[in-house]
Parts: sequence; C-alpha cells; structure tokens
Amino acid sequence: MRISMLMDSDLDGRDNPRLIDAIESNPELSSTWARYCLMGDLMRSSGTGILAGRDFATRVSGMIAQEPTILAPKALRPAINTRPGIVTFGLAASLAVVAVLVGKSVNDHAGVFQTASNGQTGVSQMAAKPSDQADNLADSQFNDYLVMHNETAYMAGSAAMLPYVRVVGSRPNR
Amino acid sequence: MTVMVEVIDEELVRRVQKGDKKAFDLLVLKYQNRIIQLINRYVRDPHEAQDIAQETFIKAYRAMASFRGDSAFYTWIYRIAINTAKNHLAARSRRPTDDEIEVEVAEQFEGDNSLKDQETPEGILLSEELGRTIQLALDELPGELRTAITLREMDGLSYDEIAEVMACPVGTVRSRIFRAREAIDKKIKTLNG
Repeated sequence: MRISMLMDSDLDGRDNPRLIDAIESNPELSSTWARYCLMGDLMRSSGTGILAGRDFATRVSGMIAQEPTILAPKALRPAINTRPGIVTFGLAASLAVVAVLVGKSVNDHAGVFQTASNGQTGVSQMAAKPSDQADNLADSQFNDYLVMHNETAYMAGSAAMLPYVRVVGSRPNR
Repeated sequence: MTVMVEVIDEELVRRVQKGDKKAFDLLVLKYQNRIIQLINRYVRDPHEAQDIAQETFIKAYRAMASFRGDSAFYTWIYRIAINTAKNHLAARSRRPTDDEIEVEVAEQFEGDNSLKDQETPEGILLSEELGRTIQLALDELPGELRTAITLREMDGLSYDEIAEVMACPVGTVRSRIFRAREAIDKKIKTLNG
C-alpha cells in the first residue's frame, strides 16, 4: 500500500527516503513500482498507445551506469561581498599591513622615505642613498608597488581612504 | 482538473542530484511510456520513437545537475523529448536521395531474405493486449474502486480532491486506490506469466 501512496505523493515526506531505498534495493518492489506505472499509462492511453519494450528501462539504466555520477553543485556564495563597510574595512586593513611591512623594510634600508599626495592619486617619492644601486632598485620597486596598490585601492571604491602612505624612517648617521 | 504537485518526482530528482542513479531508473519507469507516446506523435514510427526516447532520457540525466525545479520534472523532460524528436525529424529531412534509400532497403534483407519487421519492431510491446487486460480488470472492479482509481490515474486528482468528489475520508480513498491497483496487478501478472 505504501508504494501506491508513494506513487501518488501521499506519503509523509519523512517516510519517502526509506521506502525509495527499499524499492531501489528490492527487485520485487521495483517490479511493483513498474507495474503500477504501467497501469496508469495504459488507462490514460486507453490501451491504444505504444509502450516501451520490456528491456527499455534496463537498457537506459545500463547506459546511465556508464555516465559520470551527477553531483549538483551547492549554492555558491557571492564572489564579491557588496557590503561597503566590510569592503572598506578590508581594504583599510590590507593597506595597513602593507604600510607596516613597507615601513619595516624601509627602516631596514636605512633610508628616509616620504610620500606626498596630490589629492587625487598617491604619488610617492623616495630619497635613497645615491651610492647604493641595489637599494635604489629595491626602493624603486617598492615605490612602484605602492603606487599601483594605491591606485587599485582607489579604483575599488575606497575613496574615503586617500591612497597615500606616509612612512617615515630615520637616517642612521644623522 | 488540478495539476497535482508530484512530490515524489522532486524527491527522486534530489536523489539523482546527490548521485543516486537508481532514483533515475524509477523516473524512467514512471515516464518511459508517456515519453515514447509523445515522441511517436512526431515521428510516427514506434521503433524510432523508442530510440529517441532513450536519447531523451540520457540527455535528461546529463542535464540533471542544472535542473533547478523551476518547472515540474515531467514538463522539463517533455521539452527535452520534443526537442530531440524535432532534431531527428530535421535530420531525417536531410537524409540521402532515393538511390541511396534503395540501398538501405536492400540491406534490410537478412540471410533468410525476409524483410526486417517494421510494423512491430523487436522489443516494442503493443499495448492492445495489455490494454484489454486492464479494461477487463477495471470492469470487474467494484464501483467505488473503479471510480477512485479512474479519478486518480485518468483525471490526475489528488487524494484530497477524490475524497471530496466521493464524499469519503482520505483514508478510504487511499485504501480504494490501493485495492484497485492490487486487483489490476493480479491480472497483469497473470498475463506476463
């Protein structure tokens, strides 16, 4: 009786999984399912329509067995968090980390760096010991990094965070 | 007629989407005849209808991951079946010329020189005998059982609606439909041996 009710979507939803498990694993129950389906088809067609061959479902089942198993993807989280407060906070935090790291690196190079903002975009200028070519290259690269990062941050919409970083170091021999 | 929500279909679809291939087998059993009959209305060839139906179910299975339940499973696979049938009709219209068709006809002659059976393709059950069996079984049912099963299978009414029509409790409807199915099932089993 439960298969009859299951076919008509009349069972309590909680019972469905166990009954479906039973039908799938028990050939007699799956035959009953097949015959109940056939009954309805014959009644609806008044016995005049064509039917699937006896082995149709078996053949399809065999072909499905060769197919990759379907696993529907879970609902994806949005790629971008659109809450502006969190975006701004995140950018601010990342800029702060960069500032700390750059500042530490600058101090390690014993140079003095000062940046100035033109109000629109950050422009950084550095002064370094002219005699040290390697340091000049590293400083130049840091400078480029700061400029690019600041411009990117500005474009991402954190206009409130004026994209400049003031880093002050000390000349060791002053 | 109220379109009844096929909760069982939703349950089976969910299981398929979680990797349960046997749940798809149950959907095939449920809809194979309807899909074949639908396709046959387009192609007018029972053998081809069965092949296209097979293709339809494979396509449906492959697309299951993207089935979101915006429509009922049946209407969704209906669309796949119709599109697949139309594609075959379009391909058929592009088939080779008469000369080449004659070659195909000739190839159909087997070693015993008999033409392959085009009227009743192998594996296709004609429904006449089964249909007669079902009708006989229905005629022999007590009136309330016949009414209940007919309202359910042919008119698609829910148990609640049938209960309202027959002025009886839902539990009685449930029992009547089950007893009707059991009685018909006995006849079908006898036929199949």
